[in-house]
Amino acid sequence: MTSPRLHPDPAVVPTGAEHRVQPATTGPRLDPERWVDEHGDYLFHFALSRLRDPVLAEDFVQEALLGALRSHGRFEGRSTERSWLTGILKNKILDHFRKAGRETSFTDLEFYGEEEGRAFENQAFPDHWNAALAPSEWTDAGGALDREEFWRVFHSCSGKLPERTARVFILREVDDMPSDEICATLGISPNNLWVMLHRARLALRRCLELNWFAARGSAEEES
Amino acid sequence: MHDHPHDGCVLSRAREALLPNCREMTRRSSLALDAPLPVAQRIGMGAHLLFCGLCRRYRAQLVWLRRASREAAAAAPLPGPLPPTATSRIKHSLRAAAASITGSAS
Repeated sequence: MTSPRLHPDPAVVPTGAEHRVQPATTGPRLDPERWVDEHGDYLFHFALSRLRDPVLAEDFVQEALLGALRSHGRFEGRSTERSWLTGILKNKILDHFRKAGRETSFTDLEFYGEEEGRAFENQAFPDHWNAALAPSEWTDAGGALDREEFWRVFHSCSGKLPERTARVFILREVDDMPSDEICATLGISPNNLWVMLHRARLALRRCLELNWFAARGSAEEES
Repeated sequence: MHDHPHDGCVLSRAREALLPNCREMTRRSSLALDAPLPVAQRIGMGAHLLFCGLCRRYRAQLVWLRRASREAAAAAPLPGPLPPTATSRIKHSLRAAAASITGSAS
């Protein structure tokens, strides 16, 4: 919370130091091209991880920056420039999801049914873990988060989720959006949401286990 | 229509809630991350977890997965920088838009 704050109301900012920061509207020449240099990669990453289509992601970054340019007077320095721009981009993406949510049906729900079915094929105890597909122990799960290779595996696994499933997963787990807000935004029922989240977690967990934890375990045994 | 599995059978519903199998436990472990579970389901889940190491492991891994997903947003590697062609295209359109804004303001 040490970023420079700027309130138009002088009663809120009584000290002199912060008065040197001019409001954006009267400040030095507006330089939106600098936004592209300073925040372009970040915004593109943000859009790409949610839209998963590079061309669409580029378009959204452009739209967001144009929107920012038009509403620049409203940026009052309450947040950093990057979080301001990210907020605009995020709203544009949510709008896109809102429209898409009404246009297409949720076919993703069928995904992963087969794998899930096999994980609980158990002769002695129906619907209990099948020994071969049960969760295995993850060694050094904490250390994985510090490794660049792990994140490559993570991104490739989450990239395999069906589009709408990935969408709700990111809104819920990455953006920490409450369930009811996600339902309202995408026009889906809570049940629908929970089933998709459940399937996304099952699939992502399994994918990481196979491609990171199991792979590393066997590599260590060999060496 | 007459033999609906849940119709009026309070006992079988209570049994389902209190004695979940592992498949149901994966569903509940996920749901618990998004919404409060009904009391009976929570009790059944706690009882099952006492005896089932695999479901305990599964649940812990889901919690870990949530943490990893949040960190993934900030973690390297990024899927790729904004392509140079897009950079120049966006700058170009911003320049044009900025010119029209200042033009109409003056």
